[in-house]
Amino acid sequence: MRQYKVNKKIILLLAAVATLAVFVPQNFAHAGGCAPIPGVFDLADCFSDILNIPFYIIAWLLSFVAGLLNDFIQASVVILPAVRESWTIIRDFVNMLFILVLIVIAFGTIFDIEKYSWRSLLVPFIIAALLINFSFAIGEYVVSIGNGLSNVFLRQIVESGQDLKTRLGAGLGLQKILANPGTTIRGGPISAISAVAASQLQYNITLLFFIIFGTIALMAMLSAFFFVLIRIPIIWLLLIVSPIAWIGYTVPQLRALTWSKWWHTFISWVFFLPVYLFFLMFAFFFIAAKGNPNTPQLGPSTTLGGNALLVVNDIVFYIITLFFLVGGLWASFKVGSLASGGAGKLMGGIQTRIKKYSGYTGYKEAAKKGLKERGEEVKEKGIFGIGGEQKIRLREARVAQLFGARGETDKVRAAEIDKELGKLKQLNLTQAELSQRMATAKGIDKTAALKLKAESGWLTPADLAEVNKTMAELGGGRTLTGVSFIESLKKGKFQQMAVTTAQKEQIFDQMQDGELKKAFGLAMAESKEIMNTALAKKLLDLYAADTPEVKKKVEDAVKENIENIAKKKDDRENLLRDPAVDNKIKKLTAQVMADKKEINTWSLRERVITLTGGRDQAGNITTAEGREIDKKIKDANILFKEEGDYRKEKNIAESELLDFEQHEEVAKRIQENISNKIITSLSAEELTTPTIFNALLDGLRSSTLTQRDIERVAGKKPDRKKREQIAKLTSPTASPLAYQ
Amino acid sequence: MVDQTKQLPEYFRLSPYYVDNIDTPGFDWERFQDKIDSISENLYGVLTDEASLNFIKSGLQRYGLSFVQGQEIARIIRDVVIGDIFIGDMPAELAGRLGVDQNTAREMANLIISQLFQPVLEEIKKVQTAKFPERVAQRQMTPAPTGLPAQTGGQPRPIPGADLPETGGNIIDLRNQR
Repeated sequence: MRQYKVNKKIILLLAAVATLAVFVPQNFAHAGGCAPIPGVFDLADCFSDILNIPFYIIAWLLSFVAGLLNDFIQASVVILPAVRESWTIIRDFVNMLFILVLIVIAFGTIFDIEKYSWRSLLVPFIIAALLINFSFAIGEYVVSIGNGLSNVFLRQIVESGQDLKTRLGAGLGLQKILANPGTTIRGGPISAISAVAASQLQYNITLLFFIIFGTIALMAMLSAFFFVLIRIPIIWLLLIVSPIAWIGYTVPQLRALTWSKWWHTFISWVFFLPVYLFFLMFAFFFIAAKGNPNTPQLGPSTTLGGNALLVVNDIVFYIITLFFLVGGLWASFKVGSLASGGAGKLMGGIQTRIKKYSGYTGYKEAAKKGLKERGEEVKEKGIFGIGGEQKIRLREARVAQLFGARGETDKVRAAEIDKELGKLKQLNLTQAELSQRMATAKGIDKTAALKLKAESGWLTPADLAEVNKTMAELGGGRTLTGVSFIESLKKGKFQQMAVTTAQKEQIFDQMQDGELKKAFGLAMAESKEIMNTALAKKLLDLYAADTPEVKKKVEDAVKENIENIAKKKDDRENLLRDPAVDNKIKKLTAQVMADKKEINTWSLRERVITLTGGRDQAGNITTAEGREIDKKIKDANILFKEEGDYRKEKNIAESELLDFEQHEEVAKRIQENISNKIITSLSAEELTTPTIFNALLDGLRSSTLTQRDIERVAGKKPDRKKREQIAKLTSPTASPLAYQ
Repeated sequence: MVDQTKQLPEYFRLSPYYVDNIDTPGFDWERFQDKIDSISENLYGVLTDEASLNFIKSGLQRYGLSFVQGQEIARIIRDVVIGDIFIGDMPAELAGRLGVDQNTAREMANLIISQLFQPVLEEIKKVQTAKFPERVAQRQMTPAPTGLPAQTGGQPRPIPGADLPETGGNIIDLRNQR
């Protein structure tokens, strides 16, 4: 504001002096410096004398500065070795900083900050890392372009045969002034100005305009000289620090401050000179045209009163020259800004093309997905074991449990494991991949991997230790997570945990958790792999405390294995009679035999009844289980009806064993009933019943029974089992079976 | 009760089915049972029926053969029925195994085919065709040997054993038994 006031005062003062000088009457003059005619004071003449002083100073300064400018403007930017050495130091230092940039990118990616993620920064990073080593060469190249352009315009100027000083002087009329120093309009020879100005008034006006425009021109030329002077060291400095600009390109937050700023400054300074020279060249063309006699003069309409034509013509040239001097200076720096913007666009273009031709977009999408997932994983699980929403949820659950929410931790953990399991399933891993993953995983991840392995039936004997450990960590097979884990194991049916049944027995024994053992044992039973009574007993004992439904299920499964333990009917019968065998196994064996209609003697039947609870004193079976199995036994074999009837007739208790004679009597009874067609059919099992077999054998040998009787009871075309039994009966070497 | 001194009735020893048993040395009982599984109920009947036993017994009487020769006849009948012997080879088998001349053997074969096999001839043909397809085809192209029936369809059914004066009316027509 203050500056404005000072300028305002100066302008007003200059305006007043000018007005006075122009409009004061010509005869109002006196002797001395201001009195060309002695005794007459001439104010206009006096004013001219006053104006001559700054005029000459400005003219001389203009000439001097133009000379300097002429010398400096022709100097190209030369890159000194010291500049290159300095650049090397900076480059080496900046190269180290790329590690930091990589870390920034890594964190940006991990925390999914789009601006700093690898998606945004990888390509700029690669470009910068590569081109930083060529930053000096690139800078040099730009400088050489600037130098080349400068030379083009400079040649135009120089080729005219006149240097800058001469040209500018001509444009501003300096030669005319400076060529006749001390010459005035007063009485002497026609001065340089008088050649321009025909009268005192015109002279004064021209003088005044020259002072004003000369001052502006001087300022412009001084500025130009100053910029030309400092341009080279600035370019050197910019070249030295160019690596900083390149690394700045990789960090978005620093890009504007380093990359953009550097290019703006560098381009501005490099191209300042050629652009300025371009405008100077035009100024020179105009100046040259001024001195050309063919140059058309301005028309009468532009006259400034009377003979002012010439003055106005000069002023126009002044203005044009000044326009190119000042405007050129302004435009030089403006073009620098535009060029730096172009550099930014160029880099953007390079980046886009690299992405396009390197297949970056394709990889990007895949990697983007992967990284997004990784990002979510980090969000979920934290990083380096720190943080993560999963941990928070588990912590919350533990706290909730402290405040009475029973099983909350277990519940949350089970949910977390299932969540991980779901993710793992989506990956469609192979067995080897899953094993590898499991080897490096920890906590919930590891449990989920183990669970998937279990579900897929991929657990091997080598995994047993891990299974035991995991079960312990999960709180055993009665926790929610433990139950869930066992369910996974069941789903996979422990397929690869052991190949042979012997190996499976070993695994069963090595399993530490009871619930796990139960599941494994049941799986073995369901796949009919229980081969001995000891294992069957262990399994039945494990389930002893379970609900009747569960026990029934397990018993049914073990029952299916009885034929592994005792393959033949005789083996099963021996099992029933073996006092060392557990009653649970015996009961199951009895059920199998009853189902197979293998209980074919009264004594064996009584043994089964005893196993299931026995009879009371009245001879009635005490348990429902006993009654049920006895009904099955009785219905399967005609012997029990025949012997029962015999016992009733003879009043023999059911629990009492018959002697040989009594058995023979029962056999006779059966023989008669076959012969009398009371017994019309016999099953293969009945044909093997000692009493019935003996009855038939005796009947055939004594001809009490015929082939027709056999055919009748055995059927038209008996099955193979019956045929086998008939063959035994009809063998010449057949002998009666022992009664039991 | 079982009298070990008593033998099984003759029936079981001359029956084509029972002639060899589960414990007969050199007899593959399991293989035989496999064959039995594959034949029809009617063919099984031919092997086990008492009529077959009686047919063999009458043959023994007619040709003056021994009990052991009767067991061989039973075996040949069994093997033809289950497809172990080609029906066209029966005369040769009878001649060879019984030691009778070719004419007697042919006559015996004719009797077996025309009387014993008559009710089940089509089923026997099926078994034979399945087992000996080439020989059956070859036989159909050449004239049938005398006595061996080419096709019995349309001819009046002879009563089995009716032409055997020794048996009187003792031959039972199997067709009436089923």
